[in-house]
Amino acid sequence: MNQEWVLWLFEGIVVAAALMILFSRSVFHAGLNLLVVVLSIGVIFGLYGSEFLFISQIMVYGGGILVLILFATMIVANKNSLSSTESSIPVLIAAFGVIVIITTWVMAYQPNGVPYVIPTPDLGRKLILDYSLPLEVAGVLLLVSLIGATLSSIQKPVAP
Amino acid sequence: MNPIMSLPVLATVLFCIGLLVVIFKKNTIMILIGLELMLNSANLNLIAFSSYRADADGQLLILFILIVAVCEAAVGLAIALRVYRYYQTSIPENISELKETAS
Repeated sequence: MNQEWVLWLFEGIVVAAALMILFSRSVFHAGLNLLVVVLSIGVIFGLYGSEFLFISQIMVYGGGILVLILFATMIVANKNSLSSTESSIPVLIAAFGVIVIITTWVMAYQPNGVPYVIPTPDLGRKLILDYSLPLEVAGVLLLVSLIGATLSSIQKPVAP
Repeated sequence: MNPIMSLPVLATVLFCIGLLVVIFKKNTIMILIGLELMLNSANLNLIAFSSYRADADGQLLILFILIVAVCEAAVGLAIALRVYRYYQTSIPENISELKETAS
């Protein structure tokens, strides 16, 4: 893998933007940093050779969830909800402790191997042939939740 | 470090940061952002072990996680909007009207 330094670069960007989410006081800045995190994770998907997930991550997260979050931030967040943590010293201590302990635990497991690139036609064939029922169920779940979210967020309840 | 092993470590760090965001932040939208971080760390683990085992199932599971993440964000933000309209706050600690209104 000759593009290894690109992988390290984007992993560093992911960790830095996630830490900025943890320590930011403004909800809007946290939403923009979440955009940086999800786009960098999309680039990591692309580096592992799955272009379909790269495009899906950008479309779903960058186009769907981020717009929802920023839109809801503009409606919901007001002055008294901006200071969202008491102080950052306990957050700093807890973040350092938890990350060091669990990362050390994970790093004890070291598999060896080279990443294998799964071609996109295999993915599509498997999605249609083996996973057609979960795909339909997920589509129904998406439809129901979007209709429910729309109905419950309009101004007046619908008259029966 | 092996590049394929750096991805579970990154996912672990991201999951810890998301969990700490959920624990320490007080706003509803920040809690939802922390949930999105945790879902993304699960996706990172799935793509690492999917390409390590040369198995396409993990990448399909990422697709379904994306769909469920969209549902979760839509319903969660609709609930946050509704709660904000009723209680005029978006901090869950301030919503305590159910506790002591027995009169």
